[in-house]
Amino acid sequence: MAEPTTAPKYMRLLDPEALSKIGRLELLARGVVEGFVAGRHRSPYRGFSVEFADHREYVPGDDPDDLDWRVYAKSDRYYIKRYIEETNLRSIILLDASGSMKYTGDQAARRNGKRLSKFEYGQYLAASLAHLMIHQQDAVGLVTFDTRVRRYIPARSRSSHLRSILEELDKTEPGAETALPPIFHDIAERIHRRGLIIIISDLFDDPEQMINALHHFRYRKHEVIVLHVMAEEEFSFPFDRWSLFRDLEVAGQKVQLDPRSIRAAYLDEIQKFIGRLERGCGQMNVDYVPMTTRRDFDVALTTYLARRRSLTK
Amino acid sequence: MKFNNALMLIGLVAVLVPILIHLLNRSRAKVLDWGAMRFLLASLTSQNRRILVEEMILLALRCLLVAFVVMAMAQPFLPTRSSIPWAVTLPAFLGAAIALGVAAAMWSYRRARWLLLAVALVLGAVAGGASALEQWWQELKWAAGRGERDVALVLDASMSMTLNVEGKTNFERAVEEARTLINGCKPGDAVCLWLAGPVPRAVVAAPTADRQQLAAALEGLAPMGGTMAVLEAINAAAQSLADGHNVTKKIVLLTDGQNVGWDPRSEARWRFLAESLKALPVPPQIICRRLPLPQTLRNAAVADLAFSRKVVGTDRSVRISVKVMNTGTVPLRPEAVELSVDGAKVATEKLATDIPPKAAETVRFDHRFEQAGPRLVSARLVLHDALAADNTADRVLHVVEKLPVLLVDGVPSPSPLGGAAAFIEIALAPRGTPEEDEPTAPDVPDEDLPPEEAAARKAAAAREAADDLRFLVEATVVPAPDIATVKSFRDYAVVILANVPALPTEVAKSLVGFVQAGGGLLIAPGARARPTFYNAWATPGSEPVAPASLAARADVQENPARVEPRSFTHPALQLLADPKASDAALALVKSYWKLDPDERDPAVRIGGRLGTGEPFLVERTLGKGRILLLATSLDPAGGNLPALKSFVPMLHEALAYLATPVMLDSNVAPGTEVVLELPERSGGAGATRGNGLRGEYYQGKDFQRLRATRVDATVNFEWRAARPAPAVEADGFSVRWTGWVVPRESGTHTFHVLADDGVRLWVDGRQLVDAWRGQNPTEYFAAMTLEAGRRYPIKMEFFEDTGDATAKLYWTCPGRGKEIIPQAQLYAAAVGGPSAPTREDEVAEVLTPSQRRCPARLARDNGALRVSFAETQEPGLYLLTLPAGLAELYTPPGAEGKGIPFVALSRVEESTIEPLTAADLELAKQSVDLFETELTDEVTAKVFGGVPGEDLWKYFIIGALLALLGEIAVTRWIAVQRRLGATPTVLFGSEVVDVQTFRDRAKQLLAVPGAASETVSKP
Repeated sequence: MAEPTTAPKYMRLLDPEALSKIGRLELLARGVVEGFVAGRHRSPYRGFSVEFADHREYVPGDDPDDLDWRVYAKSDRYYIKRYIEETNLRSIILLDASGSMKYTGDQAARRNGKRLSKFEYGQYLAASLAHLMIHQQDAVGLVTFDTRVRRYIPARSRSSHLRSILEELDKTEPGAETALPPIFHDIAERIHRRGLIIIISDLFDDPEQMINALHHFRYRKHEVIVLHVMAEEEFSFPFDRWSLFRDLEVAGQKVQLDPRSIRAAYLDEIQKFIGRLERGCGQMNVDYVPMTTRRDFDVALTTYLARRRSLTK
Repeated sequence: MKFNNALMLIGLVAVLVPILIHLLNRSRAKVLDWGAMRFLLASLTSQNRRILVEEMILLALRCLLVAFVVMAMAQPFLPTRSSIPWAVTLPAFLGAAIALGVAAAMWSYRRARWLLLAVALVLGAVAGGASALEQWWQELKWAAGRGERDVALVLDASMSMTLNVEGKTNFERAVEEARTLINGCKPGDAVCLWLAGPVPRAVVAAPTADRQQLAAALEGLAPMGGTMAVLEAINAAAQSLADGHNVTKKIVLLTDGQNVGWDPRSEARWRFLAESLKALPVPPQIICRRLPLPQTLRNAAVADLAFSRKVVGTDRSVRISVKVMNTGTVPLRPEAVELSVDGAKVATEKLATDIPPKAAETVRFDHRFEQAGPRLVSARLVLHDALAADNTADRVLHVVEKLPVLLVDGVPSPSPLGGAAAFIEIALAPRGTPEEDEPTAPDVPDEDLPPEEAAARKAAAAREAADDLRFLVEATVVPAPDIATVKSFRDYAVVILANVPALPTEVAKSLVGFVQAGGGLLIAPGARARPTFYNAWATPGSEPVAPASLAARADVQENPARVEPRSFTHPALQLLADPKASDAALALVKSYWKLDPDERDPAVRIGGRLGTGEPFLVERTLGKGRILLLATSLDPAGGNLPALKSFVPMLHEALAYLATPVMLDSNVAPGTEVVLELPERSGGAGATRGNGLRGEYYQGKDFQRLRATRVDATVNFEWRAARPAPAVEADGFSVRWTGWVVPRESGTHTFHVLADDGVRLWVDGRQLVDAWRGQNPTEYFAAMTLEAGRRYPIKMEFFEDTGDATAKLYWTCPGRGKEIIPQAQLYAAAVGGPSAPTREDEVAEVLTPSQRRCPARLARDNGALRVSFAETQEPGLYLLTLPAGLAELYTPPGAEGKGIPFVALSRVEESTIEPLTAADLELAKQSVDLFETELTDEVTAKVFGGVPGEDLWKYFIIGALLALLGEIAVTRWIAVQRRLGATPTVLFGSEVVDVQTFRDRAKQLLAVPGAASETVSKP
């Protein structure tokens, strides 16, 4: 793996310690992988060896370099070789860059002495996952969005691809409002081949519509992982002083009240929201992973990956 | 409502404190950037209303709390007479506080905020203005003058004040209040005390600042009874206040507000009072304190006690009607009505039914008096009711022993039934044996009988009827020619002229004087009567005497006239007017005089008519007396009247009517003077006899100590060594005899005295004997010329040293020998006699119903003793006691040793409880400066200044506490609500390291029918 000796900014996203933890794990696809290797997708191999997977009859237009002459010798027919590389996982990371992701709170985990906002947390998650995928020789892409798609980086498995992803991650600044369902629908249409969709967001939108949109992914036979990132305060609402809540998304929208007076109702709302998502995702076989920024992202991710591996074994 | 310490209200600014705290909190809000806005907003919409309400309540309570505390500190006060009701001021204040609180809660709603602030401002202004106005008003109303004051405390002492209301009598309450007022006085204030009964009585007349004197005066006060005379009481109190020195004058009238005595309709009286008050240098203010009257009253009273006749003798019974009135509000029935005479119960009657309220029942008794003289007749209700004083009524009835009547026979005749007065005399004079049965009436007209039989029958009938009247009338018959022998008509009650032709001028004049002084005259003219005399008979003042002129004589022997009973309106003819009871219809008048009365003369009235329409009986009142003129004579010549059964009762009633003015009436209205004319007791009609000399026995030789007084028939004593009187020692005593001596003849009389030891004698003021030394029985004498029949004062003094004692008084009359001066010629001394010295014990005393002793005035009038007593304000029974010397002479028969009673009548209205209405007080308030209240506080305030009312701070503190509790409770409740409603924790991102738990959870999530076909295969 070629790693640049200078440390560009985006490299901060790859925490060695974190990576070392994560690196020992793998992200496996649970579903049927496109191609003709039925069952699990395994990529236990490291290195550059390309494994011969199977043959496909030659069709004019294919790359003549891929012709398997041995098979021609035996059968007098032209077949090309298909390599594992082609059957590898394609995953897209969808990272929510709306204004609500800017929220940090006082309980968030620190990184380099600074508390992480939800977006930063998501950045680290995305970086780690992208790194993992590349090292697994899986393809990984990135989509950043708010109300519209900001940037769409298609999935590639080359190690150099990681750089572009990391750069993009580093560049992105959260802001503007949230509109998840249209994004989901949009992405679902764009991606033709089955893959893994990893959504990193606080999902602050209408749950019904979001679940509807996730259905779309499933309809397309994608596997979806939802990493629901929320700050601790957002689901514990510990405020007790008279406060002025300023909306991070809609400029000028503010509410001044005594938080204690609505705490019960708020928690009720959050509970309903989370419950709806959880149920909805569970029904679709979508992995719903609640993540609080309070926990170190590596621990959270590690825990999740371990659990997922034990499931798929 | 007002505030006594209004300055503290500035503290109401503190009401802004909770508001400011609230607003400060809001402004110091922590700014938070928030991502989960949608959930916040969602929760807000559902909670918004509730939050607002909670805030409003809390802020309102806090503001109220502060407001209550500040207002309590400003000493809120509720005056008894509020001009602005507290229901206006208090809610305005509280409303302002609440409005402020709510405004703070709704601060974010601009329009609501300003509206509420405006409301708070308006309400605050209203409240402040109202209490300021109230303050000013009250001070105006209750402004009592500065400086010292003179206060007259007038206590209602009427009978109604003895009513027991809520455990105490109203009079006790009045005394207590008087005490309170006296104690509340400042050192310079002066108080006088009056008791207001039928006549106001001063307890402390001149205003004084001596508290002890006033307190002592209040002890032992008791209601006088009767009705309070309000106007007199106010006037008396006002006049006594004029003696005080202070500037402000106030009269405090403590009464139960019973309307009797106020004379609420009499404008003239109130105007008079108003003027007399204005005439004072400082007209007083009158404060009337009304004590509570009970709502229901259970009371009966004896409203009246009446006799069926004015002239009552011991001969037959008289009907006594006792009117029992229920003066209360509930029906009741006394157990019994008792009649007592002179304290002894003689009869009891029960009532048949309950007496409804305001109704009366009459109980009738028939009683025959055994003894003549002043008899005390009392009726008593046996009953427990609210007022006991009115359950008894007393009347004094003078039962006459004899009614002396002078019968002048105009046609004297030797035969017993011949004279004109014969039948009258029989009808009047007592004769024959007592018989029980009623006389039988002649059912056959006497014309049908032979004359002798008719006459005898008439006599028998008259005699039988007369038996009923046996003991009352004492008739003296004088033939008309001998009329001049009658010395004084005053010995008689009634004079009857039976067919008297004429009277000598002197006699006629004397008779006129007799009638004018109250005597009665009955004229029954026959054929002999001379119109020239009767028609010309006039008083010295040229007023006619005869009730009517004798116009012409009518002789209707053949066709006798009848009388018309239906025209009998006169009291004397009342018994005859009822055709069922009397046989007046059978009367036949054979000859009569046609009478011509002057019907325009108010003193004349026609009492009855004949069947022809002509007058039968005419009356004239002349002076105090009455004259009755019949059209016919009361003898057989006039008609068959004497034969009628009705004749005797008619005569008797006529006599009673004529004798009434002379009768003593000892029952007077309260406040009027009682005048009793007590005649000398000499017994019998016409004749007066001496009774002896008054002897006063002293211990000591020089009249040191009076031990006994008595009337000695004669002075003919040989005591020797014995006591002259039980209370006097046998030695060392002295005696004084005083009186009058009346010689039988004119001429030189010689008086002799025989004495052991010393003696002195005066006759007619001249000292005849002076031998004041110890000696053996020695006789002294002296002569004097005396006139027959004239009373000469005589005084004899005697002393005994030791040894034997003798005292004798003789005289020698011209033509007779020496004899002890007989009793018949000696008269005991009266007060005012020229040689009778006055003594301190010669005072007549009257015991009032309230057991006070007051003196009575005595005067001698032509041999009779006149007793006058004016202080009869208290209704009830009074007892007059004559001094010892006069008692024997003048005590009426039957009253010896007991005292002479007389009665001041009571008004039954006093027993009803009719409270004064506002209309009643209208006139009073117009006339005088009257302030009326039912509260002690207001009285005190009016007298001493200060605003009466109630301090309210306690209620405000309670309000503050309630607000505080409310605030705490609401806060708690809100907190509990929030805690309850909150989901304890939202599970999110919890570490589920345990694979099994995770699997279970996953299974749970995935266990949905029709889910995706993938199944998670587990090892």
